Amino acid sequence: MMAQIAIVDDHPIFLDGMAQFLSSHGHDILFCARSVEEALERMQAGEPDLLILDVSMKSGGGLAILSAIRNSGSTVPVIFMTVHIRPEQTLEAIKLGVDGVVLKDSDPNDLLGCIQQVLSGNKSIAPFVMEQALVHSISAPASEANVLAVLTDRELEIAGLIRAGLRNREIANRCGLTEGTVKVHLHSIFQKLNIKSRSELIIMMMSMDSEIPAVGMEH
Amino acid sequence: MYHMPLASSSAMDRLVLWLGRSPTLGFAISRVAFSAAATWQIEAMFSNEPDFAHTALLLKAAVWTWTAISIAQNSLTPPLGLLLRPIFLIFDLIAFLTVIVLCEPLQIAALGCLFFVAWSASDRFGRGAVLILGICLIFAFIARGYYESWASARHVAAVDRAIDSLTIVIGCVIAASMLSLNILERRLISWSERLQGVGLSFQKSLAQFLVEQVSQLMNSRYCAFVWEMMDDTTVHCELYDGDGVRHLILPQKQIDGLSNVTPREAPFLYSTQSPRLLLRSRLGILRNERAPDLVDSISDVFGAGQGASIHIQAGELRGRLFIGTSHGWSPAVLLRCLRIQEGIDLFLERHFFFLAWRQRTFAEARQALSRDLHDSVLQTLAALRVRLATTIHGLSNAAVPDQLTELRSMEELVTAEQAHLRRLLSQQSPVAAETDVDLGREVERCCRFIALQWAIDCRLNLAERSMTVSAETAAEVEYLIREAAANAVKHANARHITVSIAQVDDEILIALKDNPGPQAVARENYTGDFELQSQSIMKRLGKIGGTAYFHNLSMNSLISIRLPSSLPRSPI
Repeated sequence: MMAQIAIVDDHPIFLDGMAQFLSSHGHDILFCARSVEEALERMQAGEPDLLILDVSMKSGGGLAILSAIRNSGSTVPVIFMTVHIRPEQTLEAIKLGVDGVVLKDSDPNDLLGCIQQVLSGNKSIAPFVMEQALVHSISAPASEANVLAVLTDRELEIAGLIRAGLRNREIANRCGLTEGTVKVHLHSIFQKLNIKSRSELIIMMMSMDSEIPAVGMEH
Repeated sequence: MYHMPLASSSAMDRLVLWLGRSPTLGFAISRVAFSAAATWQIEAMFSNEPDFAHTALLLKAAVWTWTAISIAQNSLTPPLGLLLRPIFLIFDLIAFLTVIVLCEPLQIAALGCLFFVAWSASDRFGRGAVLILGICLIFAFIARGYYESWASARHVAAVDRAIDSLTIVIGCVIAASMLSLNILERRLISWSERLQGVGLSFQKSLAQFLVEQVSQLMNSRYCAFVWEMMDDTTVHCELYDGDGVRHLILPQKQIDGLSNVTPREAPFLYSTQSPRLLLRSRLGILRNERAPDLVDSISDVFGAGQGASIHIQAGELRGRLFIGTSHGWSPAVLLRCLRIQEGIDLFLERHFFFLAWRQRTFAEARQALSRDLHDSVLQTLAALRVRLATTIHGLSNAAVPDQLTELRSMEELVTAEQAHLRRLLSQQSPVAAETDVDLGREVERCCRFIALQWAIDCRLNLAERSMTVSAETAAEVEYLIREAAANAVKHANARHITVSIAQVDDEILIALKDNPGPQAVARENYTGDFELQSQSIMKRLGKIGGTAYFHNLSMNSLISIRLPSSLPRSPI
């Protein structure tokens, strides 16, 4: 099935190469654009049968174009062709209705197969990309909670107070414990989280973006 | 870089330190002044009474003896000093309260001395002691009216004036002590605040910076930091004294003596003249503990004299500061040590936090940069591959089999390089780096790539069927083989490379050999270029604890590499 295709990519050599490759396989290249703005402008002149977009570009890349055209009510099939796509980007693209995802380092013939699939009305997402997205959607939100799930309520409270910058003595006063007991809890936290210092604990908790600091600052 | 201002060590500075850090000096001066006033008052009361001449003499002797003993008892070492000090304080309290009740002209001087009793009692027993003393004082003032004051009936104007002037001296000493206490407090606070502000900005090592700062604050003869990291058994010692900062290498016996301290976390006072240490229990009660080995070690390493010791623990750092300073077994110095300990703990925590944060940021930045670079190369390779595919497609119907074979070979090379880069990218995540891979399979893939890249014959000779290593180690091995093969082709003109690989104990052995076959090229004139051009390999091996040999056992042997199976932990 031959189609009129538009390609958007900020890498000129790849863009030219891809246009030549698709032309040599009988497809008609409607236009090639090197930026999001240019692509959206060219889209207003006329829609292709299929849009091939790079994800990593300035001004939001392929996701921005996909979002814009879907918001305008267009149902043109879209294939993302990229070197790297983060799992969360894949999930967002699927939500926005992307039809195919192909990695640039895959066999060029895979792209031809993907185009055929998409033009036939099917979805075609590279298994590696899909696998990463699935793993992310299953494990990512849980993993942060899991780290803290090993802590008891008291340890969680103490960890929160440490993140809030309190010293052992202040924590002991606030929790109604002795300083020695706080140290025992702290040692247990370090062991459970496999860390060695308060600094690591603070950084770990900060990077988790958890709601724990509120524990320390409420009073 | 941040530089902490040095504390001056003038005589005034020493006086401020001495007056403010404990009531000992102020109390001694006030005692002498009070005793002189008491002597004059006794003279005034009994000079016209010949019957009481003997009593007056006894009283004066008693006053001065009590003064001398009270001053001298400060130099008693624990446990005797610890035991006697409360008795002296109680006796002081009774004596001064009696003077308030019975001798009106000495009332204000006695009150002044009671201020130092209260200060000493507060240091020794806590703030509750001041409350008890206040109640006693109320009763003493109530009791004043019940007794006919003998002293008030025997006024001598000149004596009254002399007593007044001595009272003013006591008042001045109190004021100076309070001022010194305040200066000392402010100095400690500003020292602690400046320390917190330093963060990572100091040019010396952390240990050197610490001993310098503490020594300047305490105006000490020496300050030593004996420390170790938890994941390392080596004990280090940094010493700051009149000769500056230096690293000491201590014999094991002294290391054991200085690092195996029984009161693990509490600050303590020591003196090389006594085998005992003075410290506070967790409840704040002063106690002494015998530690002859520790005191001997201190005496051996730092010399004779008194000092204070502070425990330091933050993150993986654990150690003890030994500060050579005269303390007169003052509990106030112990409290001050606790404050310094808190300041240092806070500083170290902030320091380690900044350090960890900086390392993490750098690592993330490096990873992002590396990812960008790999992405860019992958883009270019993808473009090349697409163009090659287009060209191959275009020529597929033409009768140019040789060109097609060459183009397909190039396409295969690009594909292999893409796969290699993709693997590197996936190994950048910490989780992936820790996963195990089959080294044989990885090296086999690498050999195929080398063969394609240099158009040579590259084979793998695997000693064991299965060699499981971490992905990080496999990446290092692959890098080394690629680099060695490139040098072998370019500088040793190798055409048939055999890569032998084996795992022995905790090491991976790699050997590259050139098998020239029947049409071998004589290389007797080998100039050593290969060895010269392999400096990058040596550099890389140096970082991961490996070694390489370029040997002449056989002219066909190129390089032997030995590297540990588990790579050393990266500093970041």
